[in-house]
Amino acid sequence: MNSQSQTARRILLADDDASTRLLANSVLSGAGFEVFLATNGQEAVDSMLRYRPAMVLLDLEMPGVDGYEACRRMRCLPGGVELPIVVVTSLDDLGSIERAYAAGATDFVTKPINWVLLVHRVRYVLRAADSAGALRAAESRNQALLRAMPDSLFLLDGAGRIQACAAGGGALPGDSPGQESPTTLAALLPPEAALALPTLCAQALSSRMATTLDCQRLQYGVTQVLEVRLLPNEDGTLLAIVRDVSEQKFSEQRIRRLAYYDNLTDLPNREWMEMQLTSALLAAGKVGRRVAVLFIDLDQFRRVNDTLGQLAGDAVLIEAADRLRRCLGNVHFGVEDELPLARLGADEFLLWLPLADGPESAVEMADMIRQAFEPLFPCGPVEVKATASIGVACYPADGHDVPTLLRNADAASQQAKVAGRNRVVVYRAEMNNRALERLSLEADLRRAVASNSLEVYYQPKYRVDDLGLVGAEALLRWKHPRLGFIPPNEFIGLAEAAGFIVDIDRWVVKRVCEDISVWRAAGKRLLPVAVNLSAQEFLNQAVVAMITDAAAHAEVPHGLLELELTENALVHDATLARELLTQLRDAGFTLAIDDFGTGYSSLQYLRSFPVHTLKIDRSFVQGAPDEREACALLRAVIQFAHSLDLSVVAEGVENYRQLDFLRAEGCDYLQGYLMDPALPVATYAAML
Amino acid sequence: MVLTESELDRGVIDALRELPSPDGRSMVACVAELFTQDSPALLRQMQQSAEREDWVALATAAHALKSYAGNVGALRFMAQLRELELAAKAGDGPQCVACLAPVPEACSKVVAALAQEAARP
Repeated sequence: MNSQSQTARRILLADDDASTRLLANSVLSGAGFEVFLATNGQEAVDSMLRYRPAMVLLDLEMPGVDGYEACRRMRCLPGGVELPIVVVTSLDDLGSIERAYAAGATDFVTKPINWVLLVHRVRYVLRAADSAGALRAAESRNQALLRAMPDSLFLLDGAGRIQACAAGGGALPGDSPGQESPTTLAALLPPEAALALPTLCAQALSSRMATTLDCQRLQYGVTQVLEVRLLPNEDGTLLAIVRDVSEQKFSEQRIRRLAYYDNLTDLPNREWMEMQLTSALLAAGKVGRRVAVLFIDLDQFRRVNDTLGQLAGDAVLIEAADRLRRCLGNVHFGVEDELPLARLGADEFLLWLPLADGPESAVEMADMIRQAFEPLFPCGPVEVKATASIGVACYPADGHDVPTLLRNADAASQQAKVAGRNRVVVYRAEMNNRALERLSLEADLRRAVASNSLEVYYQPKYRVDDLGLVGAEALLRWKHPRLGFIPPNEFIGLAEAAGFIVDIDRWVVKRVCEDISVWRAAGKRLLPVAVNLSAQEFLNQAVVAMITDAAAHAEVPHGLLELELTENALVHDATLARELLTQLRDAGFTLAIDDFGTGYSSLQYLRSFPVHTLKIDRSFVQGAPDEREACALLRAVIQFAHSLDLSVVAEGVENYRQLDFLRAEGCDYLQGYLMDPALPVATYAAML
Repeated sequence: MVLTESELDRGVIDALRELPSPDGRSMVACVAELFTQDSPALLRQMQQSAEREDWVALATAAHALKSYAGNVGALRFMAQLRELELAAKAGDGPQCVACLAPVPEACSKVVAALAQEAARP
């Protein structure tokens, strides 16, 4: 249109009458058109192809190819369909007009021609042609748009019957149009949506507002989410737009999952828990209902992570989540399609339950969970123990809001840990004090390490044969200024959890070296001292340097230091462990495996580790000589150790019957209350 | 030859005068010249066709001259030619002959009237 309006519009005039050509040319040129003339039909057809006129004025009666034939031919040529062809005919020959229309004429003018009016007529015809052209262009654009549109469009009457299908060919998005056009939209939709449709149509029409309905269906085995949008028209019809919003819905779900779910266990996270539990409490509060909150903490999970690695830890967490799900079974509480269960952090889970009355049902559930965690967790080639300590707090008695309930349930679970793990504890008000105590204890321990106020005690070690003193095991003691002696299990666990066990290990090594140095200066007998190394310290590759430095500083021969490691510290990375053990052995240190029999014992590994000594855990010694199984185990371990040229130390020997048994079985060394408890340094020094 | 005002339609002539012409002359002069130039041949065609009783050719020639006549406002002459054209299309020989008889003189009158108009400023 633009190019046409910038240059003169071309008019082709065909008439055998020279005066008509002269006049028309004069009039139309004068009006700004570019005029091309033809004297007969054939010339007209040729000129139309050559000059591409915007319009043709065509006399009907011409020699040779007449106007009718010329009109017919032009219509068949490129650009001919839309070309306005105005025929010129005598006013007295109306029959010719009919024939001209049949041949494809757009319009007609009669002779004699009114030349002044002709210009207006031509302009009018061109305008009409332009409008029709614009309409055709718009229509084809619209059609292209509709074809390209992934939506299906239907025009419906008020009852949902399909009047027309504007896009999608009468099928839903993703479907191929069927052979028969559907009569109602409902017939295409999934059943629930079909049921809801009439109400929705009525609603849209009465409110004059768009209404929307989402529905799902299986399409080629994949869930498809369709959005049906109904837009009311003024005339009582409705435009229905059916759109495939699956991608959008799935994105929303993905975003929701990323925000509110834990990738590892596929459980909701803390944020989700806070929202859901808050609304569950609100709902319960309104009807005077109680809610129990169970705080589930895995026992010694950190140890799994530290010794077997994060992958192993992850496997345990995944299994733990599954066991929790199984325990909950079909309990749904306020949250559709989702269990009232979340993972709060590393090894902490939370679940909540409606309570009929006292906490009994919650305790029952908690105990069921505790039992479900008792079987070992499969973890690659080994199985690990990850029992659960569970704290229970109840709304509203133990707290009115999520943070308070959470804190109190946590305090109860900590109490369960302190009480020996693998148990259920219901919150009582005084527990929070204990949690606070634990925190302050941790701070005190840090201070004790920093200020050298921990102490090393020595538990003497004897030959089984003649009960001659052969050395001692250095054991840590902490006398709290206010609380007195804190059991090592308690504060070592605290230090492991708080991540400063490494500092403590180093402190002990240094202390022992200094003590030996003092004894030497005092002219004492020099016997080896065994020092325990944590897994964290051992797997730290600087361990060799740390110990040789400490020994060098105190001028202690390496042969006087025996390093004790648990099996767990060794199996995590057997290659690294073997490498470090070899370095330590080559440096002249004696190496022992501590607590043998309690960890992930692998005889295969044991064979390949360059250690000197096995220390049999006290739990085996305690059973002897009365329990057959304990005796069998002791015997087997001693024989096995000897077969590998390892010496054997029995720990926790408390009576002579045990001593006799060990002696009979050929055990090399012993330590325990039968001989001495762990002694303060001065007491032990006196024995040397 | 006596010319009457009614040989040419005043309105058509006046309208022609208003139109621009290609060569500076009035459009009346241009159209008059074309009519004067082309009409004798068409008259000849008509007469020869009538002699051959070729009514189709007669109708075509009558139609063509009618078109010229219309353009110069020779309405009465046009009407005569229309009669002739209709008779020829109907294949009505006697009617054709009757209609054709006054045509040459009527044509001369139109030519003369046009000459007069063309001479006017």
